[in-house]
Amino acid sequence: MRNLMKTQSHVDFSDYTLIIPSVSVGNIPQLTIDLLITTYELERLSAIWHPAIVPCVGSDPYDSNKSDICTACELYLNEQLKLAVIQLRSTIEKKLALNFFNDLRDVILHLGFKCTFVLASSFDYELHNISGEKFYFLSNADCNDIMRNCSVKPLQPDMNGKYYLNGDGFAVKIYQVIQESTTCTLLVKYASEGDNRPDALMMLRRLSVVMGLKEPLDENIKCPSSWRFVFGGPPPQGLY
Amino acid sequence: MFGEIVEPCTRALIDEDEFDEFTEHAVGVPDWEGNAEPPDDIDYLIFIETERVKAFVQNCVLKEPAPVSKINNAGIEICIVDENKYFVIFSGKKNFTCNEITQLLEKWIKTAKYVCAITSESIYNYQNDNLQEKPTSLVKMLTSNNKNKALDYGILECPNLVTGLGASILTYCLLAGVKCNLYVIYVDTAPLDSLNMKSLLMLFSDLGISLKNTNISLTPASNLYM
Repeated sequence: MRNLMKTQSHVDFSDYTLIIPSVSVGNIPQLTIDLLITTYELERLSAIWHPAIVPCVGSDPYDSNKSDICTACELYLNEQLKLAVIQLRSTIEKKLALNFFNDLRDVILHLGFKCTFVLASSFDYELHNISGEKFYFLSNADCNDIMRNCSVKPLQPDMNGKYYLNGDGFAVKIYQVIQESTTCTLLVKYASEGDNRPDALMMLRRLSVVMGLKEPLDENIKCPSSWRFVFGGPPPQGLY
Repeated sequence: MFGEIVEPCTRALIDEDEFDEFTEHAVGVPDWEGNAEPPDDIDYLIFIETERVKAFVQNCVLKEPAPVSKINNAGIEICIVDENKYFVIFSGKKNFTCNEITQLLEKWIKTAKYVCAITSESIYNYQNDNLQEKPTSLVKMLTSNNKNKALDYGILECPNLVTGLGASILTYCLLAGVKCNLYVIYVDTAPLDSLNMKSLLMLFSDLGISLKNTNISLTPASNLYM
């Protein structure tokens, strides 16, 4: 994969769907990617390197018994499901963001992914019509029927014809860069900040149906072990 | 306004309007002073990050404080400690991102037989379910090579994350197949004192780095709360 990653296995990505999270409100896309990795048992293929990625390292967030390390940006896949996901645990340096998007698009084209999904979330106080579901999409593929069946509404442009989402990070921009060259869909959930694990669960279910995967049953959904600390560690004993 | 609490709009790592405008960014030119090419024989290449560790190294370790090489616009100084042992001291980002700085030092990293990075963090940011009382200091490590048990300080547990140049170096080494350890020193106070410096002294001793003295006089950056 050019200079972006190093892998010893040669995978034919031509039938694969790639999912990219945008760092956005409540980190819902990243939480959804966590759930995808644990629920569908995706394996880590490689770390991804780019000057734009803000580095971070830690222990394996999915298995506390392993001594593997996780890095800021990694590619996971499930060969049976033909599913590849990028997990981004930090963010992108703004000044190099465009270079990153262009390089990522080139890699997607080079590896020949069948289609790409970009996940995003946005502040729900921006919504004027709050009836019904809070999922919206933007796509250059013919997916209106399946989206309608899943109660996902098309995203509307603003008065200037531009798509704008508040708090979506780089979602709209990366969608615009990728959709110029290949099939791409942006899936957005409007949400408020708080305990966003239920939002991630909802996005996982919706995404599974949209991608044609079997919707996971409640008992089959696995949360990563790192989610124990979603509200921080235990209080210090000195308090008592 | 003084006293006003400004809450970020979201806990996600984004700023409002941050990604509204995207511009093409030209790659910066590093301003090397001294030799940009590494020597042929580097046994140890040790990256030093954060003010605490940097001040300790400059006060207690470096016999020859003048760097053999530096990148002026990247906040990098490369100093020789002992024969074939080099410190890369990072003073904070200037014109380059952490990953760009790592790429600038690519040849040095690939030449070294052993790479390690030392960084520090407040112990109050350390999360561990089993730790009832937090000690004054402790050292945790992450390694690119699981079989490397030479210095066993205990693997940094999830969900603790390390950021900065050390994280970038370890990520790069993982991809490049270079052996690298990252040590994180958790300390309870911002300026080092005789108690919380113990872990740092032990680490340097274990790395085989001799100290020129331990007579440290680290001046706090601020007199607030003194």
